[in-house]
Amino acid sequence: MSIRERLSGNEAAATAMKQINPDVVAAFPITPSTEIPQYFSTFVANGTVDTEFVAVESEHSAMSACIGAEAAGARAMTATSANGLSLMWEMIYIASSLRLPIVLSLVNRAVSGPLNIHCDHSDAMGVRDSGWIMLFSETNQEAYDNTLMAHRIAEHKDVMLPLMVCQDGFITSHAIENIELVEDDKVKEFVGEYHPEHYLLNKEEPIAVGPLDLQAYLFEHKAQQATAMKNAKQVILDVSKDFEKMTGRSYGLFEEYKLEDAEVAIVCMNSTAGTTKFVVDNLRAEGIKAGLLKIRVFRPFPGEEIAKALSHIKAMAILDRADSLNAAGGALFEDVTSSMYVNNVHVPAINYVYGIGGRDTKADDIKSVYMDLLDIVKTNKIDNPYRYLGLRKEAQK
Amino acid sequence: MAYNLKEVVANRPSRFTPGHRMCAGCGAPPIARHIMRALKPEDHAVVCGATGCMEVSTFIYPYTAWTDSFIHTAFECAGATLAGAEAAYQSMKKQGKLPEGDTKFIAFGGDGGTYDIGLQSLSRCYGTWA
Repeated sequence: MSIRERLSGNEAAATAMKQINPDVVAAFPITPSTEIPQYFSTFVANGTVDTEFVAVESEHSAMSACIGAEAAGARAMTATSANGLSLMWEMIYIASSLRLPIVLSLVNRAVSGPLNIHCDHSDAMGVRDSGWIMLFSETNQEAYDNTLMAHRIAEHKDVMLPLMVCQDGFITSHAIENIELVEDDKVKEFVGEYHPEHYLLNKEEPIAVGPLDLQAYLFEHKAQQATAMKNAKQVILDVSKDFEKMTGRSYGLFEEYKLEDAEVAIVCMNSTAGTTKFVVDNLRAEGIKAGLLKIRVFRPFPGEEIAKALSHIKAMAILDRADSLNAAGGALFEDVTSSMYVNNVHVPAINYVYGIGGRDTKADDIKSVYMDLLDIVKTNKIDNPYRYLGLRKEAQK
Repeated sequence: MAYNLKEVVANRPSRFTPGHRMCAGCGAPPIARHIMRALKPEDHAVVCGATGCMEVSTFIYPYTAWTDSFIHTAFECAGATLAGAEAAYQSMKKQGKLPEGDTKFIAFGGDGGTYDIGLQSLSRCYGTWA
C-alpha cells in the first residue's frame, strides 16, 4: 500500500531524493528551491541517507562538484532555481557533453533582472538547448513521481544524459497538497543500483574525462548527444510504463485532457495545466469543446506526437511562461508550431506569454484564451499571433 | 631528508607519458611528472586539470598523457570538480562500493586561472579539506 501524505512540492522532491539515497548531493541555497537541500541535509545529518553532502559556495561549484562526483562513479543530485541555474550555465553544458546522468530539481523562477523571486519558466528556457532531459510537473505528486523515474531514464545505456525535473516556484514548491508516496523498499528496487561502465574511481581502468576536442571529433561527439536525446523518448515511455505497474499512475510524453473531441485547445506546462483543466471542465459544462495538451517531456521534444494529437483542433493557443524577446514568440510556441509545420499539420495558432515574475494566472484569464480561440474559429482571422495574457492594459501599447 | 632527484627518477616509474604537446623546454611537464612520482606506487590518483596550457596539451582527444584517472571540466573550477570526485570517493568507500586501496586527489591549477577567476572554487576546496 502506498503512503498517503501531505507535502509541499519541495518536500516531495526532497523525499524522493531521500528514497533514492544518492551518493553525493552538492547544492547551494536559492529561493524557492532552498528547502530541497535544506530538508535533504537534515536527512544527511540524521544518518537517514548514505549521501556525502557538499555544501558548496555557489551553484557553479554545485554543478562542478556534481560533475566530478558523477564522473567518479557516484549518483549525484542537486537543486536550484533561476539565477542559480544561470550561474551553473557553463557547467550545465559540460555535464551533458560528458554524458553524466546527474539529476537536478529545478524549481522554476524568473531569472533576473530586475530581481524577482517568483515563478516563471525563464530559467528552464535558458537551458533548453543544453542537452538535458527536461520533465515538467503540474503537481507535487508529479514532481515526486518524475524524480523517482529520473535515474532510470538518465542512466539508461542508450541515453546517459543529465535530467532536470521542473516544478513551479511557490505555486507547487511551497503549496501543501495530498500526495501518495511509494514505500522506501519499492523505490529502492525501482530505481536500482548505479553501475557505470567507466568511471574515474575504477583503478583497474583509469579513464580521462573532458578532453580538448577539436575539429576532428567534436562534431561526432555532439551528434552522439543528439542521438542519445532521440533515444530518450522511448526510454521515458518504457520507464513510465514500469512506474505505472508499480503505482497505477500513468505518464506519457504529454497529457491529453479532453483533447480527443476538442475544437479549441491550450498547450501549456506545469501548474497552469491545473487551472486550465478547471476551465476546460467549466466550458464543457456550457457545451464548448475545449481541451488541453499538457507537456510533460519538453526535452526531448515530442514534436511528431504533439502534431498528431493536435491535428483535429480548429484553433489552438500555446502558453509560454517566459518571453523569448525575439519579436516572434515564446519557445514552446516556436517548438509546437514548427513541429506541426514539418509534420504537415496546419492549425491556426496563437501564442500567449503569461505569468511572468509570478503574475497570477486566474481561471478567468485562461477562459479568455478559449474565448479568443472560439473567435478565431468563427472569423478565421488572426491579427496578432504573439500576445500577452494578464498584462496591465497601459503596458500593452 | 633531502629530496634526491636522481633516486626518485631512477626508482619511480613515470605516471605521465611522453608524446604530449607541451613545448620543448617547458618546465611544466617535468613538474607534473615529479608530482605524480610523489604518489605511493600502489595508490591510484584522480587528477583534475583546470583549462590551460597544461590541460589542452596533455589530453587532446583521443590521446592522454595521464596514466591515472584525469578529469577536466572548465577554467575556474578544478577545486570544486575535484571536491565532487573526492566526495564520491568518501561516500562510496563508506558504503563499501569501492575495493580496498587508497585513491589520491590532485588538482593542477592551470595557468593562473585558479587564483583569479577560480579563487571562489578554490575556497570550496579548502572548505572541504580543511
